[in-house]
Amino acid sequence: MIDNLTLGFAAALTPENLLWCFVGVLLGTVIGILPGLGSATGVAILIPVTLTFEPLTALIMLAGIYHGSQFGATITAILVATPGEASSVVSTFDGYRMARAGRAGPALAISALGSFAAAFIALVALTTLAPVFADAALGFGPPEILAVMALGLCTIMVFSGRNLMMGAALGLAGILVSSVGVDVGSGTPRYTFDQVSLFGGLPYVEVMIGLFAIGELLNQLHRGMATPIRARFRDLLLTREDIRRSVPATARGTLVGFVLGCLPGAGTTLASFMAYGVEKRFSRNRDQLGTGAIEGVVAPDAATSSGSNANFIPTLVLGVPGGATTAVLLGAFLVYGIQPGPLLFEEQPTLVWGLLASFFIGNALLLLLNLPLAPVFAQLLRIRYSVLYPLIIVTSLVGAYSVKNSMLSVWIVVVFGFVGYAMKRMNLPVAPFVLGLVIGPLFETALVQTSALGEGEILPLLASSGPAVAILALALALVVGPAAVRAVRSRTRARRSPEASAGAGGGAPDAGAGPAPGGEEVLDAPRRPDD
Amino acid sequence: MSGPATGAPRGETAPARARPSVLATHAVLACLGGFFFLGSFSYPWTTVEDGTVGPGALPRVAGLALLLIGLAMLRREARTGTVLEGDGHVEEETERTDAEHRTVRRKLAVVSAALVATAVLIPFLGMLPTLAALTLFLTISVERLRWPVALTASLGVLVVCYLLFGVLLRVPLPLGVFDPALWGAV
Repeated sequence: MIDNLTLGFAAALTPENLLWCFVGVLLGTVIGILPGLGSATGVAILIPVTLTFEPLTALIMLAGIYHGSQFGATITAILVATPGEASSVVSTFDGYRMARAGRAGPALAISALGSFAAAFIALVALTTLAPVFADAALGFGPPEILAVMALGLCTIMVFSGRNLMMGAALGLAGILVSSVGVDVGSGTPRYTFDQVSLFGGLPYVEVMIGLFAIGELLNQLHRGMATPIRARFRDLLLTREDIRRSVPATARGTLVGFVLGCLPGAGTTLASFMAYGVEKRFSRNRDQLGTGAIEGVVAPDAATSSGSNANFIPTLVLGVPGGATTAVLLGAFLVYGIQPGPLLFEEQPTLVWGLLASFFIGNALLLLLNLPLAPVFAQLLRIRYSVLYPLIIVTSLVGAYSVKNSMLSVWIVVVFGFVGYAMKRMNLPVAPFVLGLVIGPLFETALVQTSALGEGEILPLLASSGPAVAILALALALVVGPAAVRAVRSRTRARRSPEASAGAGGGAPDAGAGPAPGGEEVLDAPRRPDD
Repeated sequence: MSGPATGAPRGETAPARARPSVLATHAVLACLGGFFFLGSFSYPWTTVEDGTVGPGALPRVAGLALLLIGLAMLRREARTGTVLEGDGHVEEETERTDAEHRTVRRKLAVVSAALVATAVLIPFLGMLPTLAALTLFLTISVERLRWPVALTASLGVLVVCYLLFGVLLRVPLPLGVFDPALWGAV
């Protein structure tokens, strides 16, 4: 492996490749900052520009755009609650709250640091474990993918916090909205009302821009507009406490991102949402998530970064894209006459290892760019909202249009902007709806494929797959586990309490510390689950 | 670090009556489920060719589930008015005066109408001129900024968007009446 990496760094560290790597990450950051212009669109638009380059140089630049846009997307998600990428939607939950609390600098800095650490760990794992993962992933068929998607759907309920029914309802609403368009299995148009423009389904990016950018904007107007933040420079620096809290969250996010990034089709969006779900379950400060907790910023960003690097495992090793952007990159490989697959490592070692080495270089460049510039980006919050919001509307509309060069995109942004505003006004959690929207098509594809493989039968095929059973058991544990633990605890407490009250006459030592037993819990005050 | 307190203070008892906004939210969700459930009968449950899962399966199951959950939530709200996290309850800001309420509502209505008007006008006026006009309208009429600031912002939007989307990214933005092909034909 060392020999291969040496070969890769020798290829990637030429002045020309270094220059285009820098241009790629810089352009990627700008593309990520613009709402609606995600990495997939950016890479797709710039492929023709790189046609005159050497294949390695072109791929280094395009991969730089991919990585850079993940960073850039987080910047606007944190500063103006306007995610530039679907995967950075989660960053708005706590990042934006941190920014409004005058902690935009630490949010941006920890995001950059966490992403870099996650990328570095993921790349070491990628270069070390690629052959092992290739063997394992080769055995992953539709039943296993279906189980992964079921796991994703179960996280919808986990996401909804204490109101499980509302979380499930909004998740189902997301799945149903995602079913508009041509069916993946038979090619039948559904719920399109004979409108050809709806055959491709409701475009996900535009829906996101509407829900989050325009929805948040209208909500801000309703709330009387947020006052500009006058953060002093020393408020923009990370504290020791921030770093202490971020380390375990980064580790969890990196692991989740890497595992999901290795799965074909799972993409980074699912990874970021699942990392947030994992934090909600396992973080020591899980009660603070949604109110501006640093764990809620760093874990999804680490997962996105780790996942975007791990996405190259199925792309390079199997020739199957890990997500939307790697699908576009796969097209770029083919444009340059390169066929990704198991033989690529043997036939084109300079290209493969040069590209992997460039990932290390690109991520280091991104950290060098983003860390010192975090306070500079945070100064954007000094701009009065009365000036900022017309600009957000403009970039949202023109960015949405540029995704498909279609006016339908503009209308979808406007309509879902009103939907997003209504959801915010009514304190409805947006996350389950969004996750349903993401997982819906993936789930249906896996369902159809499993059904085809089992000649109409699904359950026997799932039951015969060890990994699928294990993943489904994990999904079940995720949903039922906490309730079961609570029930056991409350029963134990109820058994002990008569003895305790008889003995001491005082209150139980942990009275009020735990949640009430039962399925859904009644709140004594409504809270905003996410914003 | 403690989260900002929102809504009613803790310790407030759950309302005994059903809340209209919550009922409406649950009803909308139930209707959405019902719409997709009933609509799914237009599509087959399995495909004719090989008996695999058809286009009607997922919307039928998910639609029915949403319909049932929506109805269950409606029943719960109608019976108990139980306060739950994220249940669709609209919190009214009590600190605002009636005049402030009216101002906020008017601003929201104007911005919302401006958004719709922009989407309608883009095919006729072109993307960039419409967005520049929108910026000018919002900054002057809604936000009452000074003319030089508003004009600078609008021109800045026009130039930056043109350079970024038109020149750098070569996005074929709609030109409307400013399309040279249209004038060439005339």
